[in-house]
Amino acid sequence: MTDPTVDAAIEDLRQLGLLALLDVLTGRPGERPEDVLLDLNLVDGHALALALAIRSGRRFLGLRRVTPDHRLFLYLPLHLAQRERVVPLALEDGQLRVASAYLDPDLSSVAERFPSLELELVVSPRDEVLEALQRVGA
Amino acid sequence: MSGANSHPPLRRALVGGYQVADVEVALASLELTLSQLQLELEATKKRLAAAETRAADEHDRDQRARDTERRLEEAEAEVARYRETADEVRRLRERLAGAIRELALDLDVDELPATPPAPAPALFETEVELHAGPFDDLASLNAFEQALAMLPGVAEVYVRGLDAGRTTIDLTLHEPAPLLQLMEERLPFVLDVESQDAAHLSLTVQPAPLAA
Repeated sequence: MTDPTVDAAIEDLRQLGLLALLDVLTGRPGERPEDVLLDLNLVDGHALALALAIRSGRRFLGLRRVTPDHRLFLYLPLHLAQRERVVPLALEDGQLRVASAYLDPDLSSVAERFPSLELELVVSPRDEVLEALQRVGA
Repeated sequence: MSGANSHPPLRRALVGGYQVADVEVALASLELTLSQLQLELEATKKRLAAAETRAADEHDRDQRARDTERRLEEAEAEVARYRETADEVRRLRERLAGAIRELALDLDVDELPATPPAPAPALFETEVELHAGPFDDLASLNAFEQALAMLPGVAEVYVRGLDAGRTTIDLTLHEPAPLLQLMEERLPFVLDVESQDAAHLSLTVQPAPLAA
């Protein structure tokens, strides 16, 4: 079942002509429609992230010049970050700000391990998330 | 034509020519050969018709391709004509401005109050951080982003942040330029400057009202 917020964001992009024509968006089971669009180069990753942020009411953050603080991966392990396409950005007042390519990454293991840690999700372009992860430890 | 030669030889009767049976056999053989030739002729005619149809289709496709090419050339020529017209209008405008300046000089300029020269527009550096908003939806933000990208001298527009409808945009210019003046002259938005310096600009952005 697709997320209605994601569907609405995709429709926004289609209305603006920023999404190549795709009458039927099909993917393999468990595959996110966002990934299908990006993997097939049907949409610009930046535009998709902005559309998702606007539809979800979340903040959008570009990560072009951001190098994550490696100490934050103590809270959010790198392998989890790579799997869920997230990057920890900052820890302030018991709140961990995390940039995410998706609206609903699975960070339940972080919440279980650090129950008092609040997570704030911001939306970022998927390719910029992956590039930021590559800069960790570089 | 093997059929024509396959009938048995005609035998002469003792009186009055060939034997009737032999002649009948020969005639039947010839008729069979004729039928075969007719069938072959029909088949060949059909193949010829199919080949002619294919040739006609090819010709049509070529013709359509030539037509498309011709229309494209015509469109390109029209674009070039419009560009020329726009250039002419620009040159005319410059000539008119020059003529007006000369006219002002010819008049009794001494009697005109001295007006201070207009201040030069502020130049922005090549890297500018722009804060702008509010943008309620993707369409309005995208329109603003696209309009910025089309300003002369703008090399890149990168939306770095969006929070509660306010954006942070990293603008890269090819060279220092009067960015705010360009935005006010060319963007289809009403801009209210909140703060500015050579590397930062903060604006409230509203769509320009439609012309009555």
